[in-house]
Amino acid sequence: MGEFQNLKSLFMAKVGSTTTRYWVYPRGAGGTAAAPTALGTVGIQCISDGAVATQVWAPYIQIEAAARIPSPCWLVGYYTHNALLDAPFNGDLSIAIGAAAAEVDILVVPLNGWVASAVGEGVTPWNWLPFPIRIDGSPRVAARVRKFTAANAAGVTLKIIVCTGLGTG
Amino acid sequence: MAEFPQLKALYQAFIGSTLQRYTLYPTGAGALGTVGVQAVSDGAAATQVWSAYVQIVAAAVITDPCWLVGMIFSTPITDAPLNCDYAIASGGAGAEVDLVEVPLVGYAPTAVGQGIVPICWLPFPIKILGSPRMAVRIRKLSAASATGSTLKIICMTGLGT
Repeated sequence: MGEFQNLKSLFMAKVGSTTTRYWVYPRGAGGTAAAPTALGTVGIQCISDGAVATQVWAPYIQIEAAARIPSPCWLVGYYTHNALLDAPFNGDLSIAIGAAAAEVDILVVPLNGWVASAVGEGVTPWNWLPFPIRIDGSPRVAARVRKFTAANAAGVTLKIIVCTGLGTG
Repeated sequence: MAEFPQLKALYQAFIGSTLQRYTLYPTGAGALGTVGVQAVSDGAAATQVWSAYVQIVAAAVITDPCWLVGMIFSTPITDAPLNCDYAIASGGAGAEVDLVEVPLVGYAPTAVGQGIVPICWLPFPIKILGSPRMAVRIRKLSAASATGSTLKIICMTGLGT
């Protein structure tokens, strides 16, 4: 991309775009990367497998299969809620792309949270990334956790948020 | 827009502008506020299916141009917790186009703790032209109910000027 096109895309992303869109994944059954289904899901149970030791990455859990997220799209945020088992859950979260057993971590962030309880106005905050990550080719997307406690099935429920049209008109 | 004005607009957006303003919708008459709109399901939609749109503001209310930069979802109702996705859309009734999908999980408020509700700031604003009608819809985990929350949207004017 030439110098002027770089500037134009940056301008469009932050100031000028009417075509930027935000999408939540995983989605329900059906649809394609180009025409996502309108169905939602509760998210994935992003939890340890109950076998790994403390501070060791658990196996990846698939967020979406290949050919499901748009191409190109940008990972701009994620949403974690309903931490379970530990009190509090104390660990790290990784989001990765790639086929099973060939995942590449693109985001490693800390994650702490309490099991949900009906106290207070507990609206869960969004985690927006200060710098988005462009993802080409609609790869499979997965996540994994590593945690402070010993082996158990602790973790959270996870959704990711991607943008399309970023830097376009 | 030519190269230099684009660069200038970026500079103004991030550093130089004295003209950028944040405005809430829906608003009351004049300078009056409102509690927001009840962004709730219609009580008929099944689990994980979009409900009917609820109008946030009619056409010709939001400024032209403006930029959708954030929203707040407060006072979840009915479910424990409310677990859903929201879509903010623009367009006339029956012709809405979703601009933003975001997830939301939250409990009904109780008088315990200092539960300040977070604002959902969008990392990339969406420019909106022509002062269209704005609307919202919800798809939720639970079976049909009138669950949802109270919504306000935050728009900017003068971005990059």
